[in-house]
Amino acid sequence: MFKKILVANRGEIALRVMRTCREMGIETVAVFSEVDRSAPHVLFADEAYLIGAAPSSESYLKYDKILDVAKSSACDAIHPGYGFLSENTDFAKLVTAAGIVFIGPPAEAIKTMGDKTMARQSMLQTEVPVVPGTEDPIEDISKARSVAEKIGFPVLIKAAGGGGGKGMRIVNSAEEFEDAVGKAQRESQSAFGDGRVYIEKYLEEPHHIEFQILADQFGNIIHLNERECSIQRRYQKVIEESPSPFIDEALREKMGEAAVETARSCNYVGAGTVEFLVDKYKNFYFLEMNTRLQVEHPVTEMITGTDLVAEQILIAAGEPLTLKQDDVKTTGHAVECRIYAEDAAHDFAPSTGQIVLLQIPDGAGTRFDGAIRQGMEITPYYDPMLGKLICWSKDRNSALNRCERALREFYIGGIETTIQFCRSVIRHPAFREGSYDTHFYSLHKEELLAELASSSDEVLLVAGGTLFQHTEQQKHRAHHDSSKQSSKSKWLDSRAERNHR
Amino acid sequence: MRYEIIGGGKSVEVDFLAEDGKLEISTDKRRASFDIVSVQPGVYSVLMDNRSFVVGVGTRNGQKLNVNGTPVSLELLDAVHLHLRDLGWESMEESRAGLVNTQIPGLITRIFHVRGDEVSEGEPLFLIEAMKMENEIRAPISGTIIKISVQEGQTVDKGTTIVEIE
Repeated sequence: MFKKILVANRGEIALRVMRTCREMGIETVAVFSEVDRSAPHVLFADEAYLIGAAPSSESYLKYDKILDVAKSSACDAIHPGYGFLSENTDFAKLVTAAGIVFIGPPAEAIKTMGDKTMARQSMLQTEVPVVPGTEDPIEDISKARSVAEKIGFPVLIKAAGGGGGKGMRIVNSAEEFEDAVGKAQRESQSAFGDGRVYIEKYLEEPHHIEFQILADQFGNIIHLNERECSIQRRYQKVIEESPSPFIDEALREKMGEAAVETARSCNYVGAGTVEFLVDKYKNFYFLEMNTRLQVEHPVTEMITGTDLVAEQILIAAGEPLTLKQDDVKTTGHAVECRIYAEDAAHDFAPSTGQIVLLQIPDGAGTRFDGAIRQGMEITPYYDPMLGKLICWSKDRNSALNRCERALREFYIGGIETTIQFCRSVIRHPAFREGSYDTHFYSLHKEELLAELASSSDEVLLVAGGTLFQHTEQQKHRAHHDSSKQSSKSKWLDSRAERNHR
Repeated sequence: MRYEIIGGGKSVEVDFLAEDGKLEISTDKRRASFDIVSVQPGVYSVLMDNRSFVVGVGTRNGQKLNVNGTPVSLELLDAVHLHLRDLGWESMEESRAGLVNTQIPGLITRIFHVRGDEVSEGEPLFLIEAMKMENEIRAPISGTIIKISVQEGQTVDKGTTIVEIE
C-alpha cells in the first residue's frame, strides 16, 4: 500500500481525498497557491508546499512543479481530485513515467473519453446507444435533410465550436429545416468563428442520469447504480439524487450493463462515471464518460455504503475489487445540494468576499463535504463551489424532509450562496413528486426566484426588530469605545448590556 | 418611534417601543413583544411572542439578514429618513444610474466599446472573468459612453467603476 499521497487539488475535494488517506494510514501532501496559505486543505495535510501564484495556470495547473514536489517529498502516488489536472493526458503520462502512481485511469482512456467526437466514434463500435445524428458537419443541405428525416423530427442543430447551449436550434419539421441550418451556420460563424454545424436527435423531456463504475486492473468492472442529475442551471448540476425517481429496475439493469460495457470498451481502470441522456419514452443514449471522481460521488457512497476514494486508492495500488456486481446492495435514498458562492437572484453571478458567519448543519443522516471556515475569504480565482450538503434517509420523502431541515440550519453570512435556491427547489411540488427533467429550472425559474425574493410579514417583523436592536447595540459599542478612558464607562456598558437582554 | 421596514418586495410601517430592555413592535395589524439575545457576534436568538427564531446579521451595516435559514434583504428607515425620502432625497441616486460598477472582483477580458459609442439598454459592455466564469455586463441605461476607466487585461476590485454612460 502507498505510504504518502500528493493531492493535486484544493478546496473540498482535496480535503475529501485526504480524509480517506488518513483513515487508511497514508500520509498526505498538499500543494497550494499564494492565496491559499491558510486554506483548509493546507491545514489538514501532513505536509504542504507552495507551488505558485493565485491564478490556477500558475499553480494548480503547473504539473511540472507539482511533479517536482511529489518526487522531492517522496510520494508514491498522486490523486488529482476533479477539475484541474484530473483529465489531463500529459500529466497522467508524466506521473507514470516518473515512477509515481497516478490515481486514475490510464492516459489512453482519458484521451479517448476526453474528446467528444472520439468518444462517440468509439461508442459506435459497441452496443451502447448514442444519440442519433450526423458524424460530419453539414455540407449538402438535401443530404442533411434526408438524415434529419431518417432520425425523425424534432432534431437539434448544434454548432461544432459551441457549448453551453450557444449555437443550438430545435427544428420541428422538414419545412423549417433549410432555413434553420442557414441561421445556425451564420450564428455560430459570428459567435465562435466556426460555421460548422451538426444534426442530432432532439430528445424530449430529457433526464441526465449517470452511472458510477469501478474497474480494477484485472478486468473486473462493476457499477454502483445511477445518480439523477437533471436539476441544472447554466448546464451545471445543482442537485443530484439516487435512486432516480424516473427509472425502474429493468431500465436500471440495462443502463448499468451499458455503463460497464462503456468502461470495458476503453480499457478503463479506476472509478469513473458514464453519463446518459434518457428521453421521456425511456430511451437512453450515451452522452460522455468522466474519467475521474465526480463532485456528486457522495450520493452513491451514502446508498451503497462504499468509500469511493478508498476504492480508487486500492485499485491504483493493484488490489482486485472486493465487490462483485451481485454484492452491490443499496439502502435508502440520498440527495446532494451543491452550495455555490453565487447569487441565484442575479443569474448565479459569482459572489466573493469574507464569510463573516458560518453555521454548518449536522444531525442524523446529514453530511457536509466542504472546505470553508468563518473568517475565510472567498477569492475570485477558483471554482465558486463552497461544498456539498448530502442527506440520507430510508426513503425519498424522508430524505427530502431531512434535506430541507438541514438547509434551514445552514447559514453562510457575508456572501451570497445557493442555499436558499436549493431549498426552494427541494420544496417545489414538481421536484417533490419526482416529475422533473433537465428543463426544470427554465420551466420553473419564475416561481423559484419569486420565492427567493419574498418574505412573510412575520419574517419582516423579526428581521426588522433584530436589525433595530443590532444597530442600537452597535451605537452603544461605538459610544463605549470612544469613552473607554472614562471611569464611568464600565458601569455604563454593563447597564447597556443588561438593558439589551 | 415610527419606522418603515422595507424588504421582500413590500414594506411594513411599525412602531418600535424600547423600554426597560424590552422591545415591542406594533403595526396596524398586530402587536408583538420581543426578547432578543445575542448568542454569538452577529447571531441573535429572537423570541417574538415566544415563537423562536435564529437571526443572523451578515454584514457590518445590517441590511442582509437571515431568519431561520431564509435570507432577507432589509432596509430600516427611521422617521428622519422617511421624511428625507418624502422630500425627494432618493432622486439623487437616479443621476448615478449610468455608472457601471463591477459587482465582483475579476479580470476584464473584453471591452466592446470605445468612448463616444452610443449604447442601448441591455447591450453588452464588457466581460469580466471571475471563478472560471465569464460574466457579461450589460448597459443599465441607453446613452453615450463618456468614460471607460479600465483596459482589457486589467484586474479590478469589487465596486470599481468601469464605464460611465450619459
